[in-house]
Amino acid sequence: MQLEKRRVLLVCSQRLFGQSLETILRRVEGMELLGPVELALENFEARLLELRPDAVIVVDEGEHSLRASLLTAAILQQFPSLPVISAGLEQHTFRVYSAHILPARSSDLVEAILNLPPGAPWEASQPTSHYKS
Amino acid sequence: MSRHRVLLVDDHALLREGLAGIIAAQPDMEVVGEASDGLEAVVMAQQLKPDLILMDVQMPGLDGIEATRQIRDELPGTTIVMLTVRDDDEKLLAALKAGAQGYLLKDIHSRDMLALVRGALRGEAALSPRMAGRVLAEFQRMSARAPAPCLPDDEELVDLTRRELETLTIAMRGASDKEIAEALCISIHTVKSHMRNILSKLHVNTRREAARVARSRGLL
Repeated sequence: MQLEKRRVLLVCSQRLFGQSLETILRRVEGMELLGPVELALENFEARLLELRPDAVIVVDEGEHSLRASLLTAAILQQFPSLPVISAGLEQHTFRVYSAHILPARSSDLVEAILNLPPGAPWEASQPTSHYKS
Repeated sequence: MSRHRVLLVDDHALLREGLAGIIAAQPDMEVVGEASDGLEAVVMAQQLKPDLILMDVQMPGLDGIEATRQIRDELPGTTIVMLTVRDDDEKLLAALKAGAQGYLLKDIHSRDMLALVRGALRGEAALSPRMAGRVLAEFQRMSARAPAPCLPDDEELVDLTRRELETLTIAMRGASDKEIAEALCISIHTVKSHMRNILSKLHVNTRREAARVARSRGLL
């Protein structure tokens, strides 16, 4: 039985870094790369509903970093089950964002806080492998 | 058709890997190596003798500008184009003084980057029009400040023959006398004679110095 491919949407302005990512991701078996597309805060909802990706990669290409951050936050807000990966040239890391939705009860809130990964968030950040989907 | 041999130097692994894919897809280029810092770049350049190096500027340890200077000292025939996020006049001018043939920002489209580096391999400057304007402005500023140079009475105008220039151009790429002879269809004895004349006319002792002086005087 053929496994379904992961549909990943690449959001970038088609400059060198975005094109570099496209080159890498198109070679990956088991992945269907959508885009590259440019998304704006004004139209991202409609495009995502149309494309229905399994994950979104938002490329921060330096001068547009605020726009990339705002877009990432907006996607997470509107599509909380959709993982968003942020990649940029200024950092040599990428960030995976996903929203965890819980019932609005105090017990769930307290449990979520107590179950957060250990570590000091204000120390110099290092890439970790603590990500859980 | 022989392909240009390209060395990629950048500490951003994801960009470097993607860039390798873009370059490898070109019919006239092949990636022969990758380095993640300037020191590694210098070592790999000496080993691989690439035709073209795409060099990041900001890297840990030895930065791209110093690496460019060292590589150009050893391998004056290597074309180096800086590729950076930094739109910085100081870095631009420092890179060109170190011997870079171009300075490109990473917000460029790959299509434009490839066109410019191909031009650099032909001896053109890989600069955006805006950057070229800055270089021109700096040149004009320096000309306005510096007095007109006068040649000392005893400095002769250097005149290398066409054959001597051809010999020196090939020697700059690190070719041996035997390789130069084969390329120019002349004897090794003739190559040695040309090299003696070149060193004498340029008042230098080594081929590396000869290449540097010839380039600085606009002979190459």
